[in-house]
Amino acid sequence: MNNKEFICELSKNTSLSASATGKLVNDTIKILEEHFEHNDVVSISGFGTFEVKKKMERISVNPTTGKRYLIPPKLVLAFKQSNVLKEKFNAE
Amino acid sequence: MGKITLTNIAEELSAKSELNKETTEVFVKALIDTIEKGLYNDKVVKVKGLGTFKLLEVSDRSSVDVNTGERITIKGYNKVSFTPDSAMKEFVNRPFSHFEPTELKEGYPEEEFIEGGVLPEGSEDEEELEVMEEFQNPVVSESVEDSVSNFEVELIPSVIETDDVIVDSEVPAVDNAKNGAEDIGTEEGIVENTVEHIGKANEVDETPVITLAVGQSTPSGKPKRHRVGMVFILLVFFGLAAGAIRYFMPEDIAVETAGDDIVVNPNLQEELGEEWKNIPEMNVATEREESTIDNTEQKDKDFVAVATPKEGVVEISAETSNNLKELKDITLADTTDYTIVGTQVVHTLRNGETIISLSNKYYGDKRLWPYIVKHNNIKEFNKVSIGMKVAIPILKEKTVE
Repeated sequence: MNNKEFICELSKNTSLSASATGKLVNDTIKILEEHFEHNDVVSISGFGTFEVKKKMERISVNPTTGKRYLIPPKLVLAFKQSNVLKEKFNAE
Repeated sequence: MGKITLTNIAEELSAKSELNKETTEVFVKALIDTIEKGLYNDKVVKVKGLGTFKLLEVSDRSSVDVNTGERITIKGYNKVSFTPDSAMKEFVNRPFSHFEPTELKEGYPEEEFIEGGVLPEGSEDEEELEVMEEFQNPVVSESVEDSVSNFEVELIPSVIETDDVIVDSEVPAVDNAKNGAEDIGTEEGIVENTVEHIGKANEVDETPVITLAVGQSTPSGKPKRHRVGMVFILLVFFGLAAGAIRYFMPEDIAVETAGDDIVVNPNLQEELGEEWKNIPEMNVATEREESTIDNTEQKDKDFVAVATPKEGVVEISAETSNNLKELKDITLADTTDYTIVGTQVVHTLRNGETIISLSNKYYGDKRLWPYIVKHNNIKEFNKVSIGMKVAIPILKEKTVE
């Protein structure tokens, strides 16, 4: 289901226009971004939690050239599904 | 750094979009539901600006039951995975965005970083400090403000907790405040300084803490560097302190201990050279202590060396030795006072005999066993066997200049 379909589906469910739902979705994402900036944990009950995690820097080797590189640390967004969701998808 | 839930998001959305809270709450719930349904039907749901949700199948795997140890099959299942899309990735990584992979040449990573490049450990600190500053500063000022009221009591423990050399300079400052300052002015002055230090120290301290919340693992490299330096400085202090203490101790109790509880002397290695490589590892701290102790022993050698060969004196030394268990490491100082000039006799070890007992038997002094060991090139003096032939050297006193 790509983005277009998703918005379509969502507009059907909310009986709003596609453009309106699209805008609202973008607004929601903006709000999530703000929270991620503050390293807040966003947890939607029954769905899952979004958390910003830090990955440590590491040394890795290019196998062909044999050169060693230092890959810098980075922040990544991680999602962990809730148990409710897990059961939902494993009931079948 | 808080926990946000669906209602929070709905509230903020209503503020942003000027819809009422109920509507936005319904909307956000519908959003989540649509994702779920889409996953169920299509296995993949892509949301632009956020990321892609996928329903993945995990296959069965064979494993062992932790309790019984019997082989077990862990059933396969479906799980929901999420990968952020590039816009979101970039946004989230903004604090670290200027870093880039750099090539490592031979040698320590730290050495290899030039101005234009990445300084992972150093600048990482700065970066994190910058990022974390906004919610660190409130924390720091809070804790300091609290402690200002209970200035003497709370400030010291908090300062001591931080892992920095700054601790030493902090305590005198606080003491001065305690003793001298009646007026709040002086206290505040000192508080300001300590605020700075604490700020720094706290930041250093807090960064690992905060990154724990942020990331899945703390960079253990960073605090370790501070720690190594700190340990080193502590060891030097201890070494100097120990030396100073021994220097100032009255001479009669600086006599080396001896007798019944001779332990393997780490100092032995230094004194007897390379034969003793297989002696258990030396404590770095003791090593430093020994080197400072050696100086004091020189003074006492005259005092002791003359006395030792005579049997009567052994008992006196034993007595003092019993009082000075903690100065065990000064044992056998007089081993440097003799030279081996030949072999008296070859002794065959009998049941229950030890090198120490031989030393006692032939020299009248248990402490001279190292000479026997050295003369025979015995590797493990604890493990001599019955029937082993041990040559007892003739010891001649060295005259000390």
